[in-house]
This record gives sequence, structure tokens and C-alpha cells, in this order.
Amino acid sequence: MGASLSNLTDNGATMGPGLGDIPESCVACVFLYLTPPEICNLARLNRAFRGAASSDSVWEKKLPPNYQDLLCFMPPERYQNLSKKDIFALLSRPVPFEDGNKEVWIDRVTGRVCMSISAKAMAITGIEDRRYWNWIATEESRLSVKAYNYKL
Amino acid sequence: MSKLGQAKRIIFLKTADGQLFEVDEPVAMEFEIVKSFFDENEDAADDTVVPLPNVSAEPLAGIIEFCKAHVEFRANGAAGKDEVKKFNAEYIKEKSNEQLKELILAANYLNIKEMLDFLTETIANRLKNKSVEYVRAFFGIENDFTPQEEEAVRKEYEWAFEGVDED
Repeated sequence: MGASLSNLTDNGATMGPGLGDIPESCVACVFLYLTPPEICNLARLNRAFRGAASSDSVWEKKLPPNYQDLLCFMPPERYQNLSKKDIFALLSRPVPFEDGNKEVWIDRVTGRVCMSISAKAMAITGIEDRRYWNWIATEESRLSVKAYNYKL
Repeated sequence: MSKLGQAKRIIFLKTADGQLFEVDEPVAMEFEIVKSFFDENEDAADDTVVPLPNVSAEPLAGIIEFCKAHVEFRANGAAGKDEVKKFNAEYIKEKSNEQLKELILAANYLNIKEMLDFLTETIANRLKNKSVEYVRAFFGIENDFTPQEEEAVRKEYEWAFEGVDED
């Protein structure tokens, strides 16, 4: 930060036309107003942007307040010693729980918690009655089987 | 600090390029660096000149204009109202990226939180949905990565673009 400021005063007239040397702490403030994919994209600009894009102060604002609860579904060795950015990345992929019948994850853009629930985890009237319902293996769904209703 | 009934106090600020600014006390106290200067030197004479060796005259003039308006908005109870938004939009409209950068550097050095928040939000809006190449060209940001580092950064952030189509 000091370096870029002294550049400003030493040769203010010869500076380039842009934002090239704004300090990392200011870039981190800019990131508070951007979504995670935008931040990850801009990390490729230069070293200052990359530095700000891996700062915990930026990512703890992007994580939902209850992210610790989501980590509980994982073995601790998967998230111990990770930066906040890496925790966000980890939780942006579905985390299975309750025998894989439910999944939670963080939406990459909004940072909100999402959940999907398999039909296996729902209480459906007559689900065991083969005249009405069947379980069909499928690749269309992440949750491997879907409930098929014949007539009701 | 001026007391009630006293004449309005003027604070003298001197920029890196040697210009002297006379600023009303409430406006100058928006600058955390000036405020702490006087907090630490309580018996500073009224005509003390505060040196600002990291700020030149042009951005300082812009900053004073912004802070003066915002001090008045607060005094009039207009803070957060449409009037303020309108002023901010007008204020930033004519600023080039270069001027914006100089304002950020100066506001960061002077430590003016409200203005810094506003400036960083403005930059964020100008960066939204832009490609890296566009931002580098448009904002004059030099790629200081080695090819290996560039590849490493790309890999590091791959997860953010899974399942998103290339544009």
C-alpha cells in the first residue's frame, strides 16, 4: 500500500490510466459488493486482486451465518485448516447426509444454503404399495432413484 | 475542537504538491487521519498546517467536495435519502477510472470510511460481468503473473465456474 501511494506522489503525472495499483485492502472492499463467481474471475487480473480474492475477510462475508452446521456433515479432516475461501468452495458442492437421501450446498452466486431431499426421505402415503408406487433407478437425478407413481 | 459560540474553525491542510487547503473543521474531521492528528496534539495551535504527503491537490479537492456535501446532508437529516443518491450519482458520473483510482488512494490514506465504501461500490459496479481481458484493457491493469502463476490461479478458481457455460 505504501509503495503505490509513494508512486502517486513521486510521479503522479506519469501514471497509467487505471486501477492497476490500488492496494489489496481496497480491492478487498470492492469484493464485498461482488458475487463469488465475479471475485473468482477477477482473481486472475493481477497479484493484488488475487491476494484480495483469497482473503478470509472477503469470504467470511460470503459464507452463510450457519455454515458451521453444514460442515458438521463432513469428517473434520476435510475442512480443518482450510481458508474461508476453500470452505466456500468445499460447501458449494453438494454435501450428502442422512444416508445420502438429503444434500445441502451453498449457492455459488447468492451464498444461500440449498437442500435437496430424495423421495426416499419423504413420508409418502402408500409408498410401499407396489400397485401405486415403484422405485426406478435413474441417472437423471443426483439422488440415484426416483419414486414413480402409477395412478393416484 | 471548537466550542459552541466560537467562530467556525478552519483546518489547514497541505498536499504533496504544496497546495494549501482551508477546510471547515467538521469536513476535515471526516478524515480519520486529520482527526487523530488533532486528538494526539490537543494543544496544536489554530493555524497548524496538517501535512498530507500522500495526497495531491486534485483528488483532495474532489474529496473535500464529497465530504462537505455529506456533512451537510447529515446536518439536514437527509442521510440515506434520494437527494444523497442523486448527488453521489452526479458526483461519480464524470469521473474517469484514473480519477476514481486517485480518489480511492487518497480516501484510503485519509481513512474516510463513508467515501471509501461509496468508491469501492462504484468500482464494483464498473467491474460486474466483465471479462478479465476487458477489465485489464479498460482499467489499465497490468498482468503481473508469470504464465505458471496464471495457470495456477485459473486452476485455483475452477470450482467457481463448474457447470457454467463459457461466454
